[in-house]
Amino acid sequence: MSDLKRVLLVDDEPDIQAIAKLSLEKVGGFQSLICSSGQEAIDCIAEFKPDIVLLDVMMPELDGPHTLKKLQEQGLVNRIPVVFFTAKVLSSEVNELKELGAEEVISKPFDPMTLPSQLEAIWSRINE
Amino acid sequence: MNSHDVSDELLTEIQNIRIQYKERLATDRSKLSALLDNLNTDTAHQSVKKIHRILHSISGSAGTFGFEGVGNESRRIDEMLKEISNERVNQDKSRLEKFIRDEITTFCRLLSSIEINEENNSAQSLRSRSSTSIEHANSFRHGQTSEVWLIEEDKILAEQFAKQLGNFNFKIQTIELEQALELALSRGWPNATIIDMDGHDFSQIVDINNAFRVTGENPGGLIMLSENDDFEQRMKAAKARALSFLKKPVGLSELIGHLEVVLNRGQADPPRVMLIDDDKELCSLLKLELESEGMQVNILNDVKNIITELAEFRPELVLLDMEMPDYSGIDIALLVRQHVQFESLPIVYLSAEQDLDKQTEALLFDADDFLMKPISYEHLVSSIRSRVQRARILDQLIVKDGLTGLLKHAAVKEHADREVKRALREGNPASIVMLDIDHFKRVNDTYGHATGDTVIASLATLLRHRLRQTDIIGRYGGEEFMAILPNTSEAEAFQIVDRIREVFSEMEFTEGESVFNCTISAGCVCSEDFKSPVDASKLTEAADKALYASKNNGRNRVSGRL
Repeated sequence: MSDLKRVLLVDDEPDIQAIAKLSLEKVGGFQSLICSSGQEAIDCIAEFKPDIVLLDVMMPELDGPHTLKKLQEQGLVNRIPVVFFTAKVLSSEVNELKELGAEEVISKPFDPMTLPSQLEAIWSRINE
Repeated sequence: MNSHDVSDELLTEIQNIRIQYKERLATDRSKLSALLDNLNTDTAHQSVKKIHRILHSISGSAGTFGFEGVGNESRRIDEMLKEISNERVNQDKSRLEKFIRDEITTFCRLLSSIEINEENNSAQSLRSRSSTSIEHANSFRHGQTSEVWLIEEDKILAEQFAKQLGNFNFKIQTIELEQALELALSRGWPNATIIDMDGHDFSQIVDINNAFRVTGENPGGLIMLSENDDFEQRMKAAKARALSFLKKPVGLSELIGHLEVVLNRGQADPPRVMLIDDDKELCSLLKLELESEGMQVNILNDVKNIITELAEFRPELVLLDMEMPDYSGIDIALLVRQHVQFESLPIVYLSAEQDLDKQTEALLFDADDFLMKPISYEHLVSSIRSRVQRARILDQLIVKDGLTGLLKHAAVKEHADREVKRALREGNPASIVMLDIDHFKRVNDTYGHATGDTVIASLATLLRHRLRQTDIIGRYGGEEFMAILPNTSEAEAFQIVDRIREVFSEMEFTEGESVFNCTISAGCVCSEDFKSPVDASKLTEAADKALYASKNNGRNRVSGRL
């Protein structure tokens, strides 16, 4: 199993972008690319080739579920696990999100010190 | 990922982003107030939508930046707002408007209280929440300083307490009640607050602490002192949410003991939980949830390895699925209980079983509780926390020395064994220190055993405060102590212990009219200074030799390996 190295984060909030970047790069030692919108992610994903995508659910214009749908339709995430990032954590909502094809749901607020290990746990579970 | 690399630099960067986030909260606050003005206009519907967006965003982000209270409050209002907007029958616009006005106005007040304070105490919560990953960072090397407020009218007494508590690494700030209330409102209570009840009015403290509970923030540890030790007075203290009550006059060691209890509640180690369930999805979801609550979680993949994994991970609680394909929860619980060392390990069943009789049967077979699926996370988290806390108190009574709260002889030896083995395995140094109070018999003979006990307890407290959380300290014999310092060379250990020796020699003890000082001698050795791999007993022997060298060379000194 190869290590988790590249993470694509899609979130429209600049503060979350800043702390998530710090968490992914400095705490986790990953390479990261931050996209501010679903469309930007669709445009960048083929070039960046992430190992995993972390996708915010609530964004203006194109929200997380719609972004995922477009990514799937265009065959951009065939072999890339997508993890939703959301402040909604009711288990029914988690299931709904998973049914869309997401690998896991990470709840917000997140702890910048443990976010990388959460991602690694998901990564190693998939690659078992 | 290597959590040991997390440095102060990273914390500084996080702190900078927090400051930016605080500015964003200020912007959100002005946006929210502006939106309130539009509530009775035609565009009210859009304003409500915008308010919802802002609240939703804050509830998902504030906790990440250390503002848990703000995040929780934002989520609560957002959820209620959704509920009221969805009530189809009787769309009472004025009710919705009133609700929004009241809640958002209060929420804005909460936000502005954060803006006022520059050194927000949430910074500490961010630090302490992350302390498991950063406890090895250099800044934490010599133990943390806890901030304590002292509200005491009697100036002489206040000064005396402040000076003595300062010796134990507590950062004491003497403060007037009025000022304390103001600060508590704007930035929360500090780690602990000592209040002399006599001559003070408590209604405001009760109000403030109620407000804190509503916003989900920790009201801080209150210790109340009073001359009256009666039901009425104790009830007043309880209503103000005091965790401790002490009758005046209060002895220093008694006060320190209570301070430690209060402070430990806030920064205890994360609970260790083992999960056993064949539903992999549920396991990883539970793991994520519990980890986000700051717990350490281990999933048992193969039940056959249960005993080795229990011994290795040493969980403080086991969450066990009742119905698994090969073995039932009862089978597993009974198997675990066959091993004496796990006789008192709390086991909680997870089950979809609705049948009360079956639940009762399960509880008869050695489990502690029963949680129903689907699981309420809130219930699960609080259930785990309270059980682990009780188990820790019990554990403490068994393995810890009553007078000093340190590990007893057998327990500290066991720890030494484990730590030295671990150090060898990982190729790190570990130092062992032996300490002894000089001429202790003379103290007992001259001032009595009660005073002797105070001296012993004071040294124990000093050790706890001057050493790291990862260091292990025990009372080895009467006035002899042992400490194990992982990842520490002999030179580093020497420096730390010598400083402790110096501070201890300056501490003043009183018995009646007389004031006296005590000194300690110590010996320290490090595993890396031995040519062939050593075990804990050899190291202890060498540290003991070094200690006796200190004694022979005139006492009040520290010696290294000879």
